[in-house]
Amino acid sequence: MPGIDKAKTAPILRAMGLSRSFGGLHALQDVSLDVPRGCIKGVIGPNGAGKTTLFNLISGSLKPDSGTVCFEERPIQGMKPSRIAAQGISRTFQNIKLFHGMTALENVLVGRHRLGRAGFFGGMLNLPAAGRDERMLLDRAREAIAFIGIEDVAQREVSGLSFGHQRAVELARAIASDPVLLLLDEPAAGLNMKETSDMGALVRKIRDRGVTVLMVEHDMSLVMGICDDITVLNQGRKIFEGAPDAVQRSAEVIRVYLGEVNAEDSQP
Amino acid sequence: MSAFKRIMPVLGLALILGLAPAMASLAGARYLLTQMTMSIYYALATVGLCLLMGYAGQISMGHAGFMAIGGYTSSVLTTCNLIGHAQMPAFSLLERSGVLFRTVSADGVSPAVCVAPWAAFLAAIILTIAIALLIGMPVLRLKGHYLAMATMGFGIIVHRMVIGFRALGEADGISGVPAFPVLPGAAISGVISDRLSNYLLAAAALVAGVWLLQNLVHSRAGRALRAIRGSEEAAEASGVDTDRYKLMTFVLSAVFAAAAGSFLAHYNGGIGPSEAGVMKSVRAVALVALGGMANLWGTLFSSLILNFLSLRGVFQSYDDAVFGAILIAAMVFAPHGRIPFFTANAAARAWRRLTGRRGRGGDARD
Ligand SMILES: Nc1ncnc2c1ncn2[C@@H]1O[C@H](COP(=O)(O)OP(=O)(O)OP(=O)(O)O)[C@@H](O)[C@H]1O
Ligand SMILES: [Mg+2]
Repeated sequence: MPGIDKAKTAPILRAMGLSRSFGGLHALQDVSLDVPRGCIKGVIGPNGAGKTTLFNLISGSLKPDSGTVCFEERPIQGMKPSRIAAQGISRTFQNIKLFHGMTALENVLVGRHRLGRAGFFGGMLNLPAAGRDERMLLDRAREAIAFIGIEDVAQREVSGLSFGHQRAVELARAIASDPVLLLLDEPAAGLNMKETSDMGALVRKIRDRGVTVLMVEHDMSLVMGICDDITVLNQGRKIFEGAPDAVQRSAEVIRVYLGEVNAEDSQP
Repeated sequence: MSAFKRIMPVLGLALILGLAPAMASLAGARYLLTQMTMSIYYALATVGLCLLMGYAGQISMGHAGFMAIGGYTSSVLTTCNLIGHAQMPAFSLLERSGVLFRTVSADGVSPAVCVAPWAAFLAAIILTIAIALLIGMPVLRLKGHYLAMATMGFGIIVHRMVIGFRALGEADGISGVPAFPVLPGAAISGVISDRLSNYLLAAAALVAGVWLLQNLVHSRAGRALRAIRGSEEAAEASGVDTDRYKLMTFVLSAVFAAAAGSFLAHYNGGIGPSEAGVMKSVRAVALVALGGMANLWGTLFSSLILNFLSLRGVFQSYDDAVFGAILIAAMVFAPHGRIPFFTANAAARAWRRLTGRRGRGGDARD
């Protein structure tokens, strides 16, 4: 049936002509991007290229000066982040943003917030419906914690956790909402080689559950290893888009981003 | 947390508050009941602020403003004489439904018609909700110092209004506020012979309020509030409608303050402008900070104890200075509310240290 085919092939997220500046600085200029359903898409670029700004525009933390973002073919730009999250887009932050003073499990429970029902008054009066809702949230949060593999720190307060664990908690929180699209901003930053490859395996596992992933990352081995498709940004503009091997071969990309390192590597 | 574990501390509080008058009697100090009752009403207002400030992380330096709105609305409506409006068509209807009641005015002879305390209370709560929504919507967009200043501005306006308006009694305030019958045979009033029943009514109100808040902080909504305090951006990205949650909390904390203010006005038989003073707001903030910020029980006990001592005159003319000093100390030594005393965590940690045991999933901080 053509209708279903179209739904299958239409990109899950389509950003068109996104621009955003801060004062005189053009952080992002006329960037368009399609994220196909079920893939892991990478966004790379040197520092200050506008990668995080792109994420903030998609997730609603920032409003675009111009351009549109369509998720599942419906425009979402200009909505509050909580409304965008409610449609099934969740994210992590480059500089981890956990809820300090709460345990890892509680952090993940907040991640599942959008799928709960109990409101202010149900909670205050401890109504039976609120109790059932809470147990459901708890079950699913524990599942997310087990999926990421951090059961051993579930009851620990997050500010005392190691950096790697904090990243893992943030990831568990992001997947706890059963997202359709997951935005990961440098998930491997600050991780050692072993942790980085674990993270790569985890991101693949998340994708295999049917979650589409858009990922900003500086670690080239990780990006080249797991991404199906890569967008390269530089100084707020998109300069290249293609498969990992095409990105590695692109003269433009090598010039602005991969620089001498890869130029040297590719010498015979 | 299981329902049982959650109800235990509330029952414990009921027990402590229930036993306190017996102990006061045994010690031959029944006169303490008056200050104990008053400090319970102040504590009711403070735990409401604890939800807003401690859990949701939104400071309010105008909490006394809401307490005053509650107290003044009840006082004005239950003491104003509406007999001049007796010709109005709605009058007899209101009188028959019990919203209005006949009494005598302050001179003791001429007839008067006033609003019944329950109706005045309802009006006070509705007015408080309306004002909290009106103030909260713009100011809750602000953060940190800006929010503190804006809410303080609100508190100052309320204070100036109660001093400035004829109808609000100006500097004298309002007196002659009647008893508020809340249960058959029990009314909130300053009658000396009803001191014990009044204490118990206040204690019941506090236990009920704490039970509601305790449930709330352990619910999905309460967790969302704590998340807002942790990181507003991440809470929003997790699907928490932070604007709505902050506003709901602001309104709820205002309602707690207004209810406490209204009860206190009936208990004292009146209200004066000092109840609306900025220092009263600062005092509430200091008590939440001393209690350990996101700590309902710490706030509750610091409020009960310090308000009681203050009402007993223990701090003499340094009263305000004591609360100012508490605020400074709390900010310097525990800006994030991790105050070593009062918190259950600290007690558990001290216990582990003493016994040399490490609990399962112990505090990771040290
Ligand atoms: N909220 C903001 N206010 C002002 N300038 C900003 C803001 N956010 C980003 N910028 C600027 O916009 C530019 C792009 O920033 P962005 O964070 O998107 O880069 P990035 O590609 O994520 O870089 P990095 O690899 O360092 O994370 C930078 O010059 C940055 O200083
Ligand atoms: Mg970035």
